[in-house]
Amino acid sequence: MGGEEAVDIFLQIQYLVSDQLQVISYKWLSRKFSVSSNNAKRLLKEFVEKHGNDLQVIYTVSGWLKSDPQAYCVKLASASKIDETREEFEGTCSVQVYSVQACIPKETAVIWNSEFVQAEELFNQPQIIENCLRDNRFCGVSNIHVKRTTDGKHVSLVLPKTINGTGAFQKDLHSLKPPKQEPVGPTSSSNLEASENKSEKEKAAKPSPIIREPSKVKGQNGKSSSGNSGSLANMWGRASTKPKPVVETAEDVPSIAATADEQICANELADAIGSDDDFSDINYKRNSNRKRRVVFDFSDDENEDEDEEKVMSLSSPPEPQGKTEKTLVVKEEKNLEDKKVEVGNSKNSNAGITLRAKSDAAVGGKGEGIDNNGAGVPGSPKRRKVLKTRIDERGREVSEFVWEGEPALSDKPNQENAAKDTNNRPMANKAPALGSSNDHNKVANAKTLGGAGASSGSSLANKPGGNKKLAKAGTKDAKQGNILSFFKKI
Amino acid sequence: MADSEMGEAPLERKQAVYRNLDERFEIQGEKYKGQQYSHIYYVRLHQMRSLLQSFISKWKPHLPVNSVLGLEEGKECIIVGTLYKHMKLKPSVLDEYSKERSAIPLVKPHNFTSTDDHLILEDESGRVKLAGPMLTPLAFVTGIVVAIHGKETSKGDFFVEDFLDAGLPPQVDRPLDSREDKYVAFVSGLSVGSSAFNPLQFQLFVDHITGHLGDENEQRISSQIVRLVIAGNSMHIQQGYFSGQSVAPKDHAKLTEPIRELDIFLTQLVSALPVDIMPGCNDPANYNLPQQPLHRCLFSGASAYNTFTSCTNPHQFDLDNVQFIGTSGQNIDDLYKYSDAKDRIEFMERTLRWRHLAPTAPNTLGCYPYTDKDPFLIESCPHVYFVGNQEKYETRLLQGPDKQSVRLISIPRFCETGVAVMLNLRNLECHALTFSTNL
Repeated sequence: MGGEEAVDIFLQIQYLVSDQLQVISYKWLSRKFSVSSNNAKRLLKEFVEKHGNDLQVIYTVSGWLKSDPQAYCVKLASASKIDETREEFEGTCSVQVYSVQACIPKETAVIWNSEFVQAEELFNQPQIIENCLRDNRFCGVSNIHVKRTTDGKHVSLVLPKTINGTGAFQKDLHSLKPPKQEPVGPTSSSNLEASENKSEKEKAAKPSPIIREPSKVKGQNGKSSSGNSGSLANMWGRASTKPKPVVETAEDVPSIAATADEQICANELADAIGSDDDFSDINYKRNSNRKRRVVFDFSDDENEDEDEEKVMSLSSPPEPQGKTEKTLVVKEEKNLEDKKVEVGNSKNSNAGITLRAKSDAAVGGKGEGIDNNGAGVPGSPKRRKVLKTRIDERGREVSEFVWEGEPALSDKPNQENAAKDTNNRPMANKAPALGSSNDHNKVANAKTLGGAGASSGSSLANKPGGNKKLAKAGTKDAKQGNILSFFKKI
Repeated sequence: MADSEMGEAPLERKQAVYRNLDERFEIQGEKYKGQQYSHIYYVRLHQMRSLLQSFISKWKPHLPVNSVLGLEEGKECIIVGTLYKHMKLKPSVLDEYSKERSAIPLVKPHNFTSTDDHLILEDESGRVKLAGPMLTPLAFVTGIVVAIHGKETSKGDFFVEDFLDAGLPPQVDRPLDSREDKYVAFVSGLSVGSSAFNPLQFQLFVDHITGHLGDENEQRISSQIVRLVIAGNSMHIQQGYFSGQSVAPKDHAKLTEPIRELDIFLTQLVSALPVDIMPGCNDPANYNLPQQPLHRCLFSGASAYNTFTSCTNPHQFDLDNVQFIGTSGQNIDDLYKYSDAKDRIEFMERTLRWRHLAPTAPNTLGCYPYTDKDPFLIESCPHVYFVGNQEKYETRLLQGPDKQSVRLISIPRFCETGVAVMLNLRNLECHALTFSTNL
């Protein structure tokens, strides 16, 4: 990392801590910016030295205790108590920054929460993906003997019995996202946004369930077109578009649309049969103080995406808008945001559920990012009311009805929101080592099942996900109406 | 930054050769045909008697060994049998009914011992009440096989003059060639999902073990940890859901949530080092000892790793030829209910001397009704004997007459104490690893 990036990171940390009141622990930082834990601690320390005046810092102090020489102790201590804590230790003890935050929380679990949300997000990624949670790549102790076996059954291609099938499929798409090929230019990044883009790139470089480019393109195209398409159709269709240059990745739209649809169906299904699946909709929060949030995914991906969505609202607050120069598009869309919020509120007031503008913004868009493709599924519903439940940054559970598939008015803001969301997603990590990328290729090969797979365009040659999507687009288009109507019926 | 990144090569974690010896505790191919527990007692008595007989010939070779049926009044002899401790306060289902009727409240002391307790010795032929000051009932429990020297009194009791228990089993020598420090970490009673569970505290533990936390020195220590053993009660599921009534679909989440959370923690652990997880009395495993391994599908994330081992309770393994045996604490907790000692370590010591991990099974401790074996007999002395889910961290090095040395460890409940235990394989030294989040 160059000095400039460090400065960028510092700016972001400052924003997150002081404006978003988020707790930044070294581990969260390490995962978000793909640096090793030790470097993250160093960064935090530097940050504290430079900007730590108005922030609260928590340190870890560890070493052998004076009171009990047979005990090695790891203690958390706030900056004010650091000296007296140090006294308790025998000889030299190690003192390192653990986290920075705006104020010391009463409930210690708060310190842990954002990190856990992040871990959970990584944990929820499909099994075949290697990520920093799974290979422990950022720790200071390596262990070459650890092996993880995923036999491919976890993410099988056995598709669509039901909704879940499509979910699984989408998951595959996610997982097959290859490293991006754009040149990384940290030198050009002189403002916050640039840095964000950079991290965005990093994230994109890593295979993760967060694929954005294709849908993004859709989003843009779709802005002019009607927004009433079936989301499934979009899912199939979006593969054919070309990845966009980096700068615009910020605007990429999460591919939730399909899930919104699925979610309805899932809900309906669950209601109808009153089966065990019911619990999938439960966001269980153990203790409101703790701001914890657990989502149960009953199968795969729709909840996962939903997860993501919630996770987003928790773990990655919006980009510091005040401090940065936005791209034109984003600005333009920003104006629309307010409208969107209004819409959301008016809808939600019916449901009698409290809702804050911000959370609305965070949620609303995601579902619809790619909803606007005119690909036109015959008989697809134009508007759907979706109940979404999630936890906002303050740990409150927010349930709201969101109209999906609304035409133009709500569409644009959604994109904007979505764009924001993507921006704020915890920056993922660098592309995994060779081994894992091989993995992906392997999987990719495995996935090109249908003959159509081979026909993928050259731009997608190295994009396994693309193959798949193309294949799907080719073969499935005709049937999409049917699938939807199937969902509808239920 | 780039420089520093390149400058520091990550430490390499040390490795140890692991051999899982849980096979004797696995219930495989056993068929339950309505058998009762007599078989276990029979097998136990049979095996222990042949063992004791060899000692008796050295202990008191001049005395005859009799059966209970063959006792003659006033004639000194040795009898070998299973102890039964008669306890007035020992709860019984029948008691409960009768006492309810007579409206006398049930006594609920911290344990069920009383001064009126007395011991009875049983063998295949009969039983006889033991008398005399030599054998204090407080230290004994039902199910131990001992040899007793004494004579029958006119009252029909057996007056005890001396007794012999099996003593520490023989021990395989510990390898001395290991010069480097290698640690095994023990933790128990995580109770993920309970109100006592402090996630930040456990996260600190995870980060320390996996080598995220601390400076280079600290990470060097963690790189020497070759294995983590989680000795039971890793999760906590509200008791209300076990009432036998069907759980509302909405509450399914409450059942699975702790497991999932634990899985996330475990994933972080197993991605760094080998982890053994044992079931405990609160875990979703069978109740009866030996508890069978927690099913791998409970931990969809962690079980994908080769470093994840789901074990039985009791759990036996060896690491670099150092032999370990341990339980999640039920055996010692039960001894605590039915006998008395100055600390938990003493209970542990007794079980080694009696050569039986869980003498109170099947009397007061749930146990699978084996017909052909008693899996809890300790045939060879371990080098490390650990017990999970205890009040506090205690440890002692027990030295036996035949140069046995056993490291006894009582592992405290992590969720209450924030203490894990580190054992050095090189010299069996032990230290506590404490985590505090009091800001």
